Amino acid sequence: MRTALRDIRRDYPISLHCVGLSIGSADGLDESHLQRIAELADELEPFLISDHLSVAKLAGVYVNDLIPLPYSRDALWLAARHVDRIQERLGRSILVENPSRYVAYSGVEMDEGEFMATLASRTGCRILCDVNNIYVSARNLGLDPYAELALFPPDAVGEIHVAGHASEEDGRLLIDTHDQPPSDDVLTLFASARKRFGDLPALFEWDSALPDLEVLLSEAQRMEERQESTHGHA
Amino acid sequence: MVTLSEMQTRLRNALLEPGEHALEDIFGPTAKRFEIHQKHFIRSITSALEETFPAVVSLVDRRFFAFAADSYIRSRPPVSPCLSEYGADLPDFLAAFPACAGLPYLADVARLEWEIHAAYHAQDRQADAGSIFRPSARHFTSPFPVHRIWNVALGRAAGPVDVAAGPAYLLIYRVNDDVTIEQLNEPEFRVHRALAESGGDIALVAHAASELYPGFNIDVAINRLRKRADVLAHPLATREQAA
Repeated sequence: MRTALRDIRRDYPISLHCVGLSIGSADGLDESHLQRIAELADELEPFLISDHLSVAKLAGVYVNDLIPLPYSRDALWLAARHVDRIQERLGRSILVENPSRYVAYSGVEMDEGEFMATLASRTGCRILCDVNNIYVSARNLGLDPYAELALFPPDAVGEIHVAGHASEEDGRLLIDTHDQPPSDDVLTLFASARKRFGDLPALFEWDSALPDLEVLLSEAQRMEERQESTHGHA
Repeated sequence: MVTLSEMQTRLRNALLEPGEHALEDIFGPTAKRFEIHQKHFIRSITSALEETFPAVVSLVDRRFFAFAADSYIRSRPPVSPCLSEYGADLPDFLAAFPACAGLPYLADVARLEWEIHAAYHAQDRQADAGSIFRPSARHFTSPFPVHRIWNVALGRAAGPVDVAAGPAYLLIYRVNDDVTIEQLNEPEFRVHRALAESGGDIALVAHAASELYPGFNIDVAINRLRKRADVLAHPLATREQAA
């Protein structure tokens, strides 16, 4: 596995996208995992390193999921402390991605965009804007995806993600599945994000029920074409 | 007011024991949607276990495996972020799982699959000083013919299998990304293991082997092992050098 990564790195730049740092864990960062990430980063010299604004470790148990945080001042303080530590250990800034949300915490104190903007300004991290996650969360929680996108500060966004989602309960519930092409609505939101944030690295995530490479390449092409032809919402 | 720490403990408990913890004070009317995380937790980790233990899945069928995995994940959930490191104690769990009591060889098939998995993921790094085998090489024995059961379960060999056919003595190792399982005879297996445990003390192992297996030619076994650069971490001394 490691050999394959080294081989790829010889020919291509690599972006290291993590899922297990668990920036939002109230019981602290896993320093041994951070150490392993640091060793991998030293070896592969990725041009970007990212993880999610979420919790993967809940009170000592890794749940292989990205559970969102409540957007409160307490959570912001905790996340900022952890991002500081991660950046200190890695010796560089990371990107932090907005998660997909299915549940709404009671008593939140700020919007997602405001939370992420403050996290970025306090820690110097950058924002990984996942437009599919914005769309899925907005639809699930009764929000306007374009208003949510507008809360992300353009200067702090450093990367964009696009993905496919599944639709359940007659479209009232969207699930971030990464197992199909992005919907037209998500592609339109992507074009709007590109217009707002500029020509940033964009990743098309399809990591479950993978199709043939030709399908992935044609979907990537469709993303590029949509970006050129859509004027969409600003 | 619920602190973040209390909240995350409650969410963990709700994932491990769905239906037993009300979350309305945390999520209001959207609390029911926490089910999505509950399902994902079990399904995604079950799916990872299915990849690690394909022969066990084949032997008990996917529905039963999912039932056993559900119970396993809830009682011994992952405590490491690397899913490839999860499942080491699934064989012990299956051995004690009452519903598997009719398949006495199942836990050993699971142990064999864990060794294969561990060989695949073992670091390419140099072995520790004193260790004569590469990090990916491992020895495994069972009173059941687990290699044959494993081959038949995965459709690599035709059945039927005589589960009373006797023990298996196996050497498992990886070259590049390919894991190989090799059958050894009992004395050879014991010699390998004794060499591993003694840090390559040939004189000691030769003495023990001659007492345990009077007809066994230790020199042939050691010469054969000496040529195995695919499993040895360091060149093995000759018996004369060791003496």
